[in-house]
Amino acid sequence: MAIKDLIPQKQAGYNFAFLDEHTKREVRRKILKAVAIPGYQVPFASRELPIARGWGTGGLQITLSLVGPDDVLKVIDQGCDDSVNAVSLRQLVAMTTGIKTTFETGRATVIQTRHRIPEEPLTEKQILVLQVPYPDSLRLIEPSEQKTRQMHAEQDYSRMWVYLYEDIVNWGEITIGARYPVLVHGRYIMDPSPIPRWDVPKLNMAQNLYLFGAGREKRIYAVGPYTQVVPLEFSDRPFQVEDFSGKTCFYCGSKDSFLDEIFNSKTGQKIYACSDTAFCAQRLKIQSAVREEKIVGPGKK
Amino acid sequence: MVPEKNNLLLEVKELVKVYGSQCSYCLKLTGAQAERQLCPECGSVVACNRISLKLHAGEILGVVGESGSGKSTLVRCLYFDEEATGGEAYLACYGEGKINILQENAQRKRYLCNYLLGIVYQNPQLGLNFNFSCGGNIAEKLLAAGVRSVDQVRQSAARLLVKTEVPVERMDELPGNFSGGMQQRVQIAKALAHNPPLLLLDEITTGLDVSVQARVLDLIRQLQHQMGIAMLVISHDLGVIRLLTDRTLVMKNGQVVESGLTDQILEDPQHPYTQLLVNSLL
Amino acid sequence: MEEIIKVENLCKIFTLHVLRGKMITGCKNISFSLPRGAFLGLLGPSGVGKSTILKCIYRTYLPTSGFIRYLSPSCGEIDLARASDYQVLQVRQEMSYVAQFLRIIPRVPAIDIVAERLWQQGWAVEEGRQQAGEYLTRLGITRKLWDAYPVTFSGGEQQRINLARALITRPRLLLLDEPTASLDAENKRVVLNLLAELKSAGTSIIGIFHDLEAANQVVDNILVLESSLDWKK
Repeated sequence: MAIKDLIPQKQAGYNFAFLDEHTKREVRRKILKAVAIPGYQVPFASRELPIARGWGTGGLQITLSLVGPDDVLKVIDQGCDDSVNAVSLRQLVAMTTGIKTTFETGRATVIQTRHRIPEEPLTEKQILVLQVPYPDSLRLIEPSEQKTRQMHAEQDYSRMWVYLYEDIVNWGEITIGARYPVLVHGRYIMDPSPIPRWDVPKLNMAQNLYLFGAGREKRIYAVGPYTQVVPLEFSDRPFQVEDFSGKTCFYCGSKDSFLDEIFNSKTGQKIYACSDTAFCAQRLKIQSAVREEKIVGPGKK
Repeated sequence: MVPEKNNLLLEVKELVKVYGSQCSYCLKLTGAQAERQLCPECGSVVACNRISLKLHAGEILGVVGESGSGKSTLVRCLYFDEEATGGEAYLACYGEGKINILQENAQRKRYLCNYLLGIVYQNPQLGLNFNFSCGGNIAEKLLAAGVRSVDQVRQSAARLLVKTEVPVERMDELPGNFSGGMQQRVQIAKALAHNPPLLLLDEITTGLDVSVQARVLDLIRQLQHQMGIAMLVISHDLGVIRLLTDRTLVMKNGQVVESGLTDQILEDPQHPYTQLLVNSLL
Repeated sequence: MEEIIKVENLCKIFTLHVLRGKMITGCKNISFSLPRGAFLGLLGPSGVGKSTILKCIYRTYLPTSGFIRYLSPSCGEIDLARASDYQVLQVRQEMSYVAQFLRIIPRVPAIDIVAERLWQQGWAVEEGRQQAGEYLTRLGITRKLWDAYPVTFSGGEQQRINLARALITRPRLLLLDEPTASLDAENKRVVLNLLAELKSAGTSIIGIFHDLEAANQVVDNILVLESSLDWKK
């Protein structure tokens, strides 16, 4: 069944936002619990959806449970609004709810994302929903779910620290790129989902609410607004983000955003571009407006 | 080695550990008198039957008895590897010695293990994580106790390895590469890392050959001189007990049948079982 | 004169459960007292219970009945026959007991065996070794043996190590079980001199001797135990 077929069927029995109200209520309750215990993984009954597990079903269930008729949705995948997955998810929500969608970070009330946090700082009125493949940082060192839950309960994190210590001993630095473990509110170690290190500091004392959904692993967790989130680091080996010094965005010239490397195999040329396409577009728009103003001159418009 | 007055460090009162369904007859129908640990009523195994002991700061107390007498279960209950069925244990340096540590929640028990207790097992596989380097194993205790500097961790680990006579240049190797005696010394270094006031030693020389055994025992004696750590030494080997301890408890069928000065236990044993044990000494 | 130790009706009976409860008498109705700073010699044939008395005082043996009243500066008057383990350990700091045989500690060199008791009393490692060296020198153990393990030593050498270990702490009460048994005439003289020196410095001593001649040189009193377990002065 094609997604567009859902529209007529919506009247024929599909609920607003696809999920039935009981399911949405359960998810919302789990979200409330997650917000109340920042960084703690709350189990929830992940439902079947018309997309496969592992394609953002955790984030999608959160989004579907949260949106109301007045919400404005933005969906990004790896910083981009146009990639296939982002488009499909956005269309699914739009078609089953009829709510407005946007590419502009500032206009959105709910943003569902994978692998990136937008460059533009979010506000108290916005919620960022992250799709999570592996909700537990401790999985790196302990395969048993039962044991990791106990470790979280007892705040028994010494083995995680040893892992980082061994990393430094073997490689001279901590080699974890994405999924860098963070300590939330001085209590739980949390997997921030596979965002680059660049985005990790954005979690700390942020104005907005962060919700994390792992559909396959059936876990929801959250970082509330103004919550302390610190990456695990040693006093003599401070946490470092990716280094883009000397590199700028090919399109907008940004020097302070997370850049993707783009390699042109025909010309052999290597360029860098903003990973957050909305951020890049916004800058380009301002730049062209400024240019126009310069050419046309002020007051003649 | 001689304890000072009134400096009780650990007091255990009537510690009980029963494996199985447990009935009201378990404790009465088992023990040294009954010469059995299996309750004839319900079939439960009574590993520790109302064990009481006192350990002063800086003292080494021996616990001797044949295998299966409940010695190891006793230390495992004290290190919370096993949950004691009943009884009380008080540690002077924790909650002013007024909190029964056996009843604490898992998180507090974790704190006790990370800050106040150290353990060395007979089998290094139990005490060491073989996926971590030997330095990493020592680091685990330091990190658990809140050290957050890599350099500091490495310096402390190196110092401990020197103390336990493990070549420092092998610090970043996996313990699997080491001989049994060396693994045991790494385990001791790990147990000492956070400077615990109480160290539990469970048959630490069993299974090592004689020369390595002597080295490990010598190490323990030196550490005791230098650091004044109180130790509970579990062994079935009276030689080990004689060498290390001032006082000794003798266990049989999950009960303490005799306690006293180590030389008195060895030269003038009172209980029939202790006499048998001493007479079996090579 | 003040008495440092007073033994009253001391009895030690061993019950051997392995031999179906057979009873063996170690010593019976022993009474004596030792004035402070005195040297008492115990004499008598083997098996008469001399060592048993010393071991009861040191509490290596648990006395069956009787009293052993000891006047301790740290604990006051205390009955060693009934004192708690901790009290005994406390009092043992003021005592030294020299057994007939050296208890060998694996992999510990001679000098450390001697210095160990000082370390237990809080001496620094090097100072303890230096002091131990002095005692070993006086007892005629040459420097090249200091770092060796006493397992390989002759009986006489082991006995002198044992003595050095006991004397080095300058105990208040010294219990000696045949301190000169396996020594040659020269070393015997050295040991007896050392004991006399210690005694004049205030140590009270109880010693078991086989040879009367050696005993007579140093002791103030002699207690002779007969096979009947009587005794006379």
